[in-house]
Amino acid sequence: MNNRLRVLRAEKKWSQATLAERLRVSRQTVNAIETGRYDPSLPLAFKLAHLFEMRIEDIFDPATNTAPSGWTEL
Amino acid sequence: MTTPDIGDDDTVSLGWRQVIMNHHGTKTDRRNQYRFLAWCLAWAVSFVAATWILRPAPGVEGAGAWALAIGPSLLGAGALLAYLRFLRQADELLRRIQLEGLALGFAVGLIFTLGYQLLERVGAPSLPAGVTAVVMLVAWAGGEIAATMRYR
Repeated sequence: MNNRLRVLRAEKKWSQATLAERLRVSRQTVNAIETGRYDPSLPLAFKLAHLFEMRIEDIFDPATNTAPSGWTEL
Repeated sequence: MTTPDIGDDDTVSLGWRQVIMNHHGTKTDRRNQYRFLAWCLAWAVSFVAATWILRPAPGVEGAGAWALAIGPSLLGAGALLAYLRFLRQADELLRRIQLEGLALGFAVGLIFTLGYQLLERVGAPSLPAGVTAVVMLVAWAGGEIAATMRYR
């Protein structure tokens, strides 16, 4: 799903590697979330919200779905 | 609002070489993967050695033969435990990629095994028992690569 992660990260002048380190995930995971290829798990979404001091729905737009949906995108 | 410049280290779109070399995951993931690969290597070496030593007469016999026959499987069990540890501690996207690869490997292996039994009935040549394992491994690797490319 669409999200503002890249913008929020840029405002803090963090690289993807820096954000990944803070979240304890891989840089590839951060990139996949930013590009909408992967939707984070709930615990990771809460970590993101806590890190940026925002609500989850202020970061992610649930109205859109751009991640590969499995059966429809083999 | 313009996006501030955040440097040029954000291009993590993986090329084919990086995908195959599995440049993915955290430091913990890589350490766990190396540990798993070490167990797999030990398993493979012991399997080859046992296969060679246990060749038909005048090979090893008795309790020693049984120990040689069972030994590789114990190392295989070690590899399994190492893989489970890797999965449980893995970065969540990496875990998804691994599980998709496993699903493909298992399913392809199963379909191949059952399907080839029918082909043998209509004249296809019999294959050694280890072929199924090879098919599963290749499908597993292919599934991992496909999933990695999908989420890059």
